[in-house]
Amino acid sequence: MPIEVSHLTHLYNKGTAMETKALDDINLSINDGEFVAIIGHTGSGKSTLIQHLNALIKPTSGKILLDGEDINADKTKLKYIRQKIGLVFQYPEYQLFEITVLKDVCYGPINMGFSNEEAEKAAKYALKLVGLEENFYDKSPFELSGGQKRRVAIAGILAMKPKVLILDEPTAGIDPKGRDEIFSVIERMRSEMDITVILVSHSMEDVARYADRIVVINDGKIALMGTPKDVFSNIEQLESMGLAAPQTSYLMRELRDKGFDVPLDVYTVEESTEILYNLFK
Amino acid sequence: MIRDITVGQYYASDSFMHRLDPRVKIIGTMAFVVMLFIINDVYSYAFSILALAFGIYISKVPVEFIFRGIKSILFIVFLTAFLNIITTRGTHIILKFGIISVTYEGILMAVKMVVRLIMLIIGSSLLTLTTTPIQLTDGIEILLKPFSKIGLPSAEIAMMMSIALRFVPTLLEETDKIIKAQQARGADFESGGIIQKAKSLVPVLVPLFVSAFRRADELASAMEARCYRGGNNRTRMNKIVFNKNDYKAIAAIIFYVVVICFIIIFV
Repeated sequence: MPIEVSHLTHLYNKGTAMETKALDDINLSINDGEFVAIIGHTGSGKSTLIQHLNALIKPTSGKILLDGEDINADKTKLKYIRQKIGLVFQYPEYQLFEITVLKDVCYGPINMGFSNEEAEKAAKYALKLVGLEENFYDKSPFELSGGQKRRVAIAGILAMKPKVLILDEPTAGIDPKGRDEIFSVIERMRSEMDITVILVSHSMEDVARYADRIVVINDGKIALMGTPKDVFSNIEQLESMGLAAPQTSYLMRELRDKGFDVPLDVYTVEESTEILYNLFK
Repeated sequence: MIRDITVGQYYASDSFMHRLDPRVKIIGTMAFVVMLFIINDVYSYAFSILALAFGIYISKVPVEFIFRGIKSILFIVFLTAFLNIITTRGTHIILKFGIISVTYEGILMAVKMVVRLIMLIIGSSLLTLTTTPIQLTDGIEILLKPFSKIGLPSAEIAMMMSIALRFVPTLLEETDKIIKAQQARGADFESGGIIQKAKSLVPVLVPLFVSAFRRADELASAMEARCYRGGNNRTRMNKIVFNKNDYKAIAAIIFYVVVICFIIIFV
């Protein structure tokens, strides 16, 4: 289910003195199975953009097409769109409310019109995918650890069987181990459910490591777009927007300055490990 | 939708009204509200409307901003009018449906109540529109001070009020976020009957309560970490001082009360 964003503009507080342009003529297409990362500093319009993709905010002008159809054209189809495009908000664990983990994960699918058995099946599948086994089903979501809560919340979206999954900073406030777990969940979803992933992140390392394509948003406009190598080669421009390249590329630059013969376009820890290993062998 | 509620909001500006001592504004509002309940004839109503209009004028708050706040209580206003029309007994019957009769007295009563209610809302929202929550609670704290002799913890009451007011926008924002998050999971807050609608609010209310308790807990820890120990000997950053304008405002309040009393007694 390809998503096509065309000439999307959004004004907050339209017509008042506090009118602000959150998004300005965004054009973007996202293909099936792609892993797209959206980066930008706080207030750049990332969150506004992803809420548009889920039809939670309506565009001031412009369109969002899912499979060639305008998602805001038919109000009765909103549920269908929100099922196909799953949105995991920032700190999603704050939306948990049910008595048990299993019931909470079933909430989405049941709203989407799944039967009770179907919903339970989907919920169990989603919980397995995020690495929570049967002994968690009857626990209260409020007695879990932070990382576990977050995985339950992500499962709550996955259980709706979306085709596109949007994650807004899924690793914010989570320890490194929890972060790795969440990324391995994302990888598993991609391989098992053949899902398109849109990730909003502040971690350049994560983005460099996992994304096929990076979209850089600055002041409501798309400033840069391309593969991680393309985008991160514009270090100066990224820095002027309050962003940065992954740490490893700074390391490589320092090494190059000191006279070592290393490539500059190294953006993941794995790659740099290999280069450093060969260099000092 | 939630953001349309203007009752209790502050409108930043720098008018005569905004600069007044909060104590004066609180007393003025109280005087106005009390007067609203004793006025009864056309003249005192007219004079009160005039006084309120003057208050709005010197507050420099846009009129449409003030009236937007009334929208949220329109239902109560209409209900009051309706109940007054059908329940007031009178001699001049205009319409009659079975046991219910609409009388001239009833309509007059309804109009009076509606005007009174609207003035009440506008008058009190004028106070919050022109006074920051901090000024407001400072003012209340000082006004309650004399009662601390009989055991009223005025500083604590003021602290609780300012905390409550401080968290209104935060909780509104939080509600908005949770509503959106549940909508993303297919929640539907619009369709269905009353029971269905009430049920659909559970996924919003539970997380909201959980987060309110979490915030309260965090705030308590933060206050304790900074050695908060109640109101004894606490000094304030901004001392409230009375100046010339405050005396003018007090004179205006007294003038208003005297005129209303005069009208009520002699007209």
